[in-house]
Parts: sequence; C-alpha cells; structure tokens
Amino acid sequence: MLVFGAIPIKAGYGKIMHLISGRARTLESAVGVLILLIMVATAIGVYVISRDYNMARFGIASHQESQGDFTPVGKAETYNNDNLYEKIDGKAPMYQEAGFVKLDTQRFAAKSNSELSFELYTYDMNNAKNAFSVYSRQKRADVTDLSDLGASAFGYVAGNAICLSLGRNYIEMIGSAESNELVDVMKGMAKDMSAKFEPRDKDKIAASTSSLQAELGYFPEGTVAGTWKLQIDNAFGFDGLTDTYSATYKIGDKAVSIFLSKRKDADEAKTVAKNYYDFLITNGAKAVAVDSEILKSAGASVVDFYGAFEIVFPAGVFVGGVHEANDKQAAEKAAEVLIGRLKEVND
Amino acid sequence: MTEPNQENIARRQLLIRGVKAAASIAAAVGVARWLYDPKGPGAKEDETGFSGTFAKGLPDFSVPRKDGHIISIIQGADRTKTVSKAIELLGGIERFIKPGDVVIIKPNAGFATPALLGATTHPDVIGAIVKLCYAAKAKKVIITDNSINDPASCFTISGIAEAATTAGAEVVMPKDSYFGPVTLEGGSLIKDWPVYCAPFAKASKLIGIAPLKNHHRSAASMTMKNWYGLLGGRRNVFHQDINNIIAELAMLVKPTLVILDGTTTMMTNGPTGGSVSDLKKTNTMIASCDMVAADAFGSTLLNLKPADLPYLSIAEKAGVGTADYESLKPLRAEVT
Amino acid sequence: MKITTVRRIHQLFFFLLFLWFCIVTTVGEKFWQIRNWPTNWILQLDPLVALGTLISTRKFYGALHCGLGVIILTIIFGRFFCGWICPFGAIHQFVGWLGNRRKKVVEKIRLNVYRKAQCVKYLVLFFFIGMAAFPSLAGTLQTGLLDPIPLATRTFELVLLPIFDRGTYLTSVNARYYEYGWLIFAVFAAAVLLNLVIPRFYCRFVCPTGALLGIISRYSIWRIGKTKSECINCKMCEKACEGGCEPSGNIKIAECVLCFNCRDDCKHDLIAYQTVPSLAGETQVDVSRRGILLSLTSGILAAPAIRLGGKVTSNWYAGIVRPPGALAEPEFLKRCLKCGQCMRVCPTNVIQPAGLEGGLEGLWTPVLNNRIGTSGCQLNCVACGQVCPTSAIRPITLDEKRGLGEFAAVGPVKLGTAFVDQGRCLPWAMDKPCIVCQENCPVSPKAIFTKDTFSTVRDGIVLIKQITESTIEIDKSIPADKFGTGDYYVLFEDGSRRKISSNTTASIGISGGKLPAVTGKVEIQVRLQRPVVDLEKCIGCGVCEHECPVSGRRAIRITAEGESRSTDRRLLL
Repeated sequence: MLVFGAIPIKAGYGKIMHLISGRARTLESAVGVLILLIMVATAIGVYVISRDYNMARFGIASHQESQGDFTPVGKAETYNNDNLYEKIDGKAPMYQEAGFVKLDTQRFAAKSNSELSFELYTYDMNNAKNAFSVYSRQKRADVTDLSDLGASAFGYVAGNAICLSLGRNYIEMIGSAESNELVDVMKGMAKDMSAKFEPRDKDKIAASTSSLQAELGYFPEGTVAGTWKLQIDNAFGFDGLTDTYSATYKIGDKAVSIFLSKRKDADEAKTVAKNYYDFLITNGAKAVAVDSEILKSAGASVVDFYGAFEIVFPAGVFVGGVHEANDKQAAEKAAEVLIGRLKEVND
Repeated sequence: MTEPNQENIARRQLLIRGVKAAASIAAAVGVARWLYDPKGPGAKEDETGFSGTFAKGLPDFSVPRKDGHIISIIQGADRTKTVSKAIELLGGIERFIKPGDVVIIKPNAGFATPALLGATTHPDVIGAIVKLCYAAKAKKVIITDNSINDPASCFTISGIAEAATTAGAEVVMPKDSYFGPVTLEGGSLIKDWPVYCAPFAKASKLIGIAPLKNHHRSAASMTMKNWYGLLGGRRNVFHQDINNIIAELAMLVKPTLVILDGTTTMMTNGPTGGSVSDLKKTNTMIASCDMVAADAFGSTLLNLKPADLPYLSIAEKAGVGTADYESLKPLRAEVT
Repeated sequence: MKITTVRRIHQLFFFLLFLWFCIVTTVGEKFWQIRNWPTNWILQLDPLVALGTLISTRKFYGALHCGLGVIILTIIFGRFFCGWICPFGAIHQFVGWLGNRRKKVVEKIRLNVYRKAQCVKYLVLFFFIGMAAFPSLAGTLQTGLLDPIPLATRTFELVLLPIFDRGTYLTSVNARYYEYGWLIFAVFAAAVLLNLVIPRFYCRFVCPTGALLGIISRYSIWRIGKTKSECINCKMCEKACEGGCEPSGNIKIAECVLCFNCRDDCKHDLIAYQTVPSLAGETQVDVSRRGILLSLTSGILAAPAIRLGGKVTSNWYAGIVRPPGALAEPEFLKRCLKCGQCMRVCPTNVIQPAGLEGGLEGLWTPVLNNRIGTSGCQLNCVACGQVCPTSAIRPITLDEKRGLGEFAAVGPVKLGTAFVDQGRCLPWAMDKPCIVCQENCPVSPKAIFTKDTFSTVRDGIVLIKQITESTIEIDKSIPADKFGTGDYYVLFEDGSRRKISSNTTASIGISGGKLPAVTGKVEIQVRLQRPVVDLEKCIGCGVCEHECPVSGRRAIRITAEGESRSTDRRLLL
C-alpha cells in the first residue's frame, strides 16, 4: 500500500508516527524536486522550440516598394540557414561559412512588359565585413563599379546584374535580360537602398563599414580600386590566415596580387607569417633567395610555388605579402611598396 | 473490524479503481486514436496525377550499347541544330525512342531564373528533343523536375514550360505523393530516402538534359549532378558528401541518353550564377549514353581535368561509365 | 521542501509562461515576438478544448494531443490541472488569498465549506457538450465562452495587454483596438472579483473545464483523504482548502484541486495523498443524474434554437468576413474557441472579436473590420492560421492564400468582395476625382479598375467672351484657381476637349498648344475615374475599404459574398 505524507493505516497511531512522517517528508521533498525538474525541463523545451523558427511560415516578408515601372510580382520569400539550399543549392555553404543569417528575395516585373523582370536577393550577413567578403569573393571580372552609392556601400554592374555590399547586407539584383532600361532601374533601386538603408542601425553600420573602409585604406597607392577581396578565414587554403584582404597592385603594366591581414599584435603577426611560410613549404614550395634589401631587413620570405612566387612578411601588427605572382622582380617591388605603406600605418 | 480485513478491503478497492482507471485511459486513448486527425481539415485538392500506385525505385531506361556510338561532341552555336546532329551521329533518334514510348525528360529546372543566365536547361534544347521524340512516334513526352525553387515558377521563368508545351509535351509538377523511399543496393547514402519516382514508373524512356555549370560545392554540375533533382526530403544533407551522392545517383539512374549543353558554360559563381559575366561561349553540345564520359569531357570546358572531379572516378569504379572519353572514340562534327 | 511551496512555484511558472505566450503572440522574429514560441501550448493542454472539438467535429485534431495527456494524468492523479497549471486558477487563488487573508480562521473555514451549488459547473459543462454534440450541421462549440484558458487568453491578449500598451508600446508597435473589449473584460472582472465573496468562486461554481476534470478523476489512483475516520474535528484542514471539497469529513473528491493545503494544515498528520479513499468517506461527483440529463438536453435543444434565426444559413450576415483560411461557417463554429490568438497576432489589427451580428454563437469569433487597424488583410501574411489552436482557421501557406504554385488551379483565398457604394463614392456621387481604392489595391493585376468619364461641373456651361492662344475669357464668374488641378477640361461645341491649366474668376487658361478661334459656349468638365470592382480578381482583403477617404461609412466596403470558404455564398458560377 502506497502512502505519501502520513502514516499508513496498518501502523498504529502513536510512538512511531514521527519516524514514519519523517520519512514521508523526505519523500515529499523528493517529489517536489522531481516536479520542479520537470518544470525546468518544460521551460528549456519551450525555449529550444522557440529558437528553431522560420518566419516564412507566417508568410511575413519585408515590404518591397515598386521601382518606377517595376512592381513586385510573386511572393516575397525568406530563407534561413535550414533552407537556404532551396534557393541557391550548392552555393549555400559559401554564404553559411561567411556568417549568413537570412536571405529575402522578391521578383520585380515591368508593368508595361512582363518579360522584363529582375529578382532582388538580400543576404543578411550579420555584419559589414561578412557582407563584403561574399561580395568581393564573387565579384566578376570585366564589370563597371558603381561610384555614386554613398560612402558605406560597394557595388558593380555586371551585364544583366547588379551586386552590392551594403552595411550588413549583400545584395544581388539579377535581371532577366541584358537591357539598359533594366540596368537603369536596378541602379535606381541600388541608389535608393544605399540612401535609406536601415536607419535604425545607422550607428552600428557606420561603425562596421568605417572599419572596413579603414582596412581597405591600408593598401598602398597604386592598388587597383575595386579589386579588393576579403577572406574571412582560410585565405589561400591556409586556415591560419583570417580576415585577409587581397587586391591587385599595378607595377607598370604588370599586375600583382598583394594581401594583408591585421593581427592582434606584432608577435602574433610574426607567428602567422612564419606558419604561413611553413604551410607553403609543407605543400611543396621552394625557398628562393631574396634580392631586395628592404625585403631582407623586413624578414620577408620568398618562395617558388610551382612556378608562381609567394612572398610573406610580418610588418608590425600586419601580415603582408604577395600571392601567385608570375614575375619575381615585380613581386618584390610590390612587396617593398606594401612594407613601406604598412610601416606608415603602424606608425 | 480487524486490521488485515481492513487492509484487504482497501487493497480490493484500489484494484477495482486501478482497473477502472486503466479502462478509462484505454477508452480515452482508443477514442482519440479512432478519431485521430493529424493534419486537421485540409485544402480542397484535386486528386489527379500519379499518386497511389507506383513501383519503388526507378526502372532501367538504357538501350543496348553500341561501341563507337557512345558519345558525340558537336561544335556550334545553334542548340537546335547541334543537339539534332549529336543524336543523329549516335544512330538517330530511332535508336533511342520506339513508337509508343512514354518519354520522360529531366531537365535542370532547379532555379527560377531566365534562360539567359544559363542556370537551367535551355528551352531550345527541350523543344528540339521533344520534337525529335514525337517524330519517332513517342506516345507522350513528360518534362519534370523536383526543383530547388518553387517548381511552377522554375518551369515558367526558365522558359522550359513554354518550350515543352509548344512542342506538345506535358509538364508535371512534383507532389509529395510522387516520392517513395528508395534504397540503392551497394550504396551508403541513398538508404530508404524519398526519391521522385511516380512519373518515372509509367515511362519507358528517360533523357537527362543538363546545362554545363561551375558548382561551388562539387566544382562542376553536369549530367550526373542533374539527377540530384530526383532526391526528395531534406536533400541538402547530402551536400556534406557531394561526390559520393553524385556517384550514387549515377548508379541509381540508368537513363536512355544524356545531353550536356555546353553552348554557354557557367564558369564562375555556380550553380546559380546570376550575371551573364559568369558565362562563356563554348559552343559545344554533347550527347552520350555514358554519363561519366560526358561529364569528363564537360570538365575540360570548365578548364578542369577529369581528375579534379572525384565523383567521376567513384562512378567509374562502380561501373557507371568511362572517364577516359577519348577511348570511346567520340563522334565529332561541327554545324553552323 | 513543502509540496505546497512547490505547487505555488509551479503555478507562478505556468502563469508567467501563459503571460509570456500572450505577449509573444505578435508577428516578428525578435525573441519577444512569435518566431516559434509554442503560444498555443497552454490552450492545447486544456482538456476541454480537446474534448469540445472532438465532440463537435467527431475528430481528434492531432495538435491537441497534449490535452489527451492531461486527461490521462488526471485519471491517475486527480484534478492537478486546476491547482497546478491553470493560469486563471492561479489568478483566482491569488485574489482569493489577497481578499480574505485578514479574516479570522473560523471565517476562512466557513468560506471554504462545500456548497451544494458547486454542482452548477457540471450543468454548465453538459449544456455546452449538448450544444456541441447536436447531430447534423447545427452543432456549435461554445465552451470557449467560459473555458478558463480561452477566457484568460482572450482577456489578456485583447484587453489587458492593449491597455498596458497604450502608454508603453512595449509589446506592440501601434495601439491595438478591439471591439467589445469591454464585454470581454467585464466577464473576466466579474469572475475575478467573485473571489472576494468566495475564494476560487469561478473554479468551484462555474468552470466547465474543472467540471470535466472532476468527472474524469473519479477513478484516480491517488487521492487526498483522511488516514483515520475520527479526529478532533478542528476543521483546520479547511482553512485554506482551494476546492471547497470538505477534507475534514466526507470529501467531495471531484472538487479537490490537489492544493495539498489540508495536508499542510492538519496539525495531527491525519490527511494524506494516498491510494485508499478517505477513512472518513468520500463522495464522487455530487450532481443528480436528472440535472445532467436536463442540461445535456437543454444544450442539444439550444443549438438549433440559436440557429432559428438562420444566421448561418439563409439569413447570414454579410459583415461576417472571416480571416484567410477560415473553414466554412458551420465547420468554423464547431472549432472556434474565441481565444483571440488570431486577433492578437494579426499584424494589422484587422481581425476583431465579433459581436452578436453573426448570431449569438458568433460572439467574440474573429471577423475582419477594415475600419480598425493599420491596413486590411495583408497579401503576404498567413499568421492567423498559424496560431489557431483548433484549425478553425487552417494553417494555410502563402501559396495557398495567393493561389500560387500547386494552388494555381484553385485560385487565391477570397475573404469576400469589395462593393462600391455609388451613393457615397466621390467620383460616382459627388463628381470629385479620387482613385485611392484603385491605387491601393494590392492584387496584381488590380481588382479595381476605373471607368473614365467627363462630367460637366455645376454651373459649368459658360459663354466665350474672348479667346486668345491660351486663355478663354468667359461671361460668368467661376471660383478662382479651382480648375487648374489637371482634372478639369473645357469641352468646346465641336466636341473637342482641352485640359485647363489655370483659371481666374473670369478666365480659363489652357496649355498645350494654340486654341482655335471659336465662339459660342464651352462646358467646364471634370475627368472622373470611377472605380469598378473586378469580381474575378477581388480577394476581399479590405485594403481599399481601409484606405477609402470617406471615413465614416466607407464608400467601398467588403462583405462576405464571394468568399471562397463556402460554396453557397459565391457570386460567380
């Protein structure tokens, strides 16, 4: 017979009462703790459920306004980490590795000609650096940079498409045809977007884009504007190189790819430079003699990596270098300029 | 009243109550189960199509091998002409389509993007193939794909729907009921996985038509990767093991013929691309009974080597085809 | 740790959880917005929700399986839901304690005695069950009127939070409006204030959920009871008895809400939660069979009685425009709990609790009122169906609502149809240009198009005194600067028409080329674009009604004709 909290009937009421009820109080506490544990588990469960959400379920998507003759057609869609692949399939991991939060899409078609349409992709990349990273890594060759976007935005026109890095967002507008009319409309939209972008988070955006601008400013004069690429991690296949910017530098008619990465302090910069050098050697690079005195005194290493030259050096808090140069002389010259520039920055 | 007696009564009462409680619970659960309605009131659905009866897995659609007539590579910019020539060189459409055949065409209609961007199979190729099939007295031609984006918009925006219906083919949109669990013998990934089966069960021939694209995850998306569109469920989990899944799909699907359209090649930012700047005119059309050979040749148009694509060697080892396409003596021609 | 302390923590937890769910039932993805909070969970736990819909629809809706869990646990442990989980019960308990805490012990004991009238709640329950069970189409689910969880949800979401928000805007962006909020509050306030008369008055005398749980706890394995038949009869055990179930004597086991206060208060440890019935005897549900039969029969007869007005059939009220995804009216009324979830989550506040216009049974059910809120029903929103606990509003997808994808053949969900009131519409009745409704129509292609006409303005026929290249001097005085807006034209006798660019009291300026040297009279005309609704395109979203500048009684209004959820109300074949 189970009894909870008082004496069992078969026992007499008397001297053993205290003993029994003492045991029962322990049982009472145990049951109480068990119930509270279930309660805590409920709270955790509810919280865990709440975190796994997809707003597309409610059909809510950010409201898109018409752009000239072009009005939103079809439904606005939102994708998160779970279903991004439903929109862009195999390209999803690239975004996800760079800090992807969500993607909103909306198609716009011309009222007068429904054949003419474009689709707007807004990738929320969490911060300006991530957005710039996916922007710069996908940047097509032979494009026209958009200059009149405002200080915090980057953008270019590539045939039928416009791509932007705007605050924490990476934006693509993909036209259905190569048409000037379409490009003009998309340019207008890009301009409007940069003009009134998320005024709520203005300060935050300004802070993160200005740090981005500052870091791009570390490149020396002679760097080809618009060729910047930002690798958040795993630059050139080496996982130690994080937050690495690269860009094309012109020496006469020769183009060299230079890179830099700001580290915590000078010690870390030295370690990363050394580790990257070791990584190159491990993968089959051969050390070659350094001709330039400036490079020698900066502690730079030059290697021949299957016919291409790689240079790496620490420069104060920076790791800098040259990537995949065909011409050793041009590479060393570019490295000299970069060392000079980074010295200025360090000072 | 003695104590044991009282205890007996108590015990008996408890027992009776326990039985009644158990019976009440059983009744409650029973009623709930009996009247269970997991989904709630549903939408008005039209009950047409392929749901209900379909065989599990996919039939073998291949035709007998004819050495020296396995792969053809045609140069030219006009897709209608190059694809017709490619099939002609392999022995003509009559080799593949017999009168009365029900033909399924599996394009890459994964994205709701215009044909201009080269992310989807070009409508011209679809139109040409459908016409050829009907010329060979096919009974019916069906175009279908389990698109990545919303299927209806994919088929419409890519222009595939219009090209297909103009040529007299039927466009079938995937539905949940068209998927059935499939296990690939000797496979490690496709195990009891929902595969798009129903329309295939009623067909006798299968032609895969893929555009030639760069792919961020697998380096290249061609005729073998095109079968990815047959997977249902949360298929993106397979991106973790992209090479093996592509190879396993190639083992699972035995098409009559595959067409690889390299008239324009998406060189960068695949598989979606987005800009015409991602495309390069490569003016090549491949028709092949051997998917591995077709894709191995296709890789060269992407400036890759067949060895750069691990799924080719996996599939070759599994006996799907031959990566050394030159050994098959490709039939070449140029049409202007 | 005392079990009563654990119980109070548990009650507080569930009350806060309930409150949190009410707060987060608002569209958005911040942590304090809906994202995936299971805001329906406490409604789904309510066993009367599960049983009520089961009886009315003859189906056990899968989402309500938690209710079955509560039923099973009640069969084993007794009426724990009331004493441990129910947030409304927690409110009663707190108010009852607050109002009576200074009373003398004797008085407290007197407040908590068992009263024969506690059987009324069983009669309430069986009346509602009777209504729901009525065979054929007339069954109607009315438990939500008094079921504590929908009642509390409704009150918090539609009255208390909006009042709180009026000053703070913490839980919603705009001020929320709810028609009949006062009536909802009155019921709630009455129920709460009755605790000052008798603690847990609502739980003891009214609550149909408590009644249901009392009945199904009949065979519970464990139960509160005395461990001895005799005691000193101090009645301390009834000092704080929540259920009023008389633990000191012959306990009314169906009234016990497992508060454990009696066990705590017994100085002699004579009360236990045990497997044997109380040694002082116990009574099951204390209600006569005749009473149950009578209330059940009354319910069964009441259902068709309130339908006598034909409000669901031929005499249906056109103003009852239901949210997108709502089932056809008879099915809808078998499921709607009047809980207010859809009304709270609706981002535009357009979903409102109905009054009696749709019949007695339609009270507090969701209807669209396009005059309230920030806009009509949004094209890209299906939030209401996602939060409906019983699927009275089905959880439709955007594709289904818009008639896209696989629903292309079925077409979009239509809530009703917009009707232009030509007697109030500015271009139709007053010769004033206005195409606000057409401009705001979100359907593509627009469901409102315009018929262009020219209408001569009042006293608009004038004689030409003199005509130059761009002005006409006229013989009559006209209001200065009135006709230069671009909407006004002059019509010459030869039938040609020119746009007026400016005017003074005595002349009319015309732009766009030289005027012919004509004489005679001209008519000043206004160009009117009169809105016409395309019956096939209109989805009844109500954006036009919301935007109509005739702000009192709108000149374009949505009524439910043409709604896609029912076949008998359609306008098109």
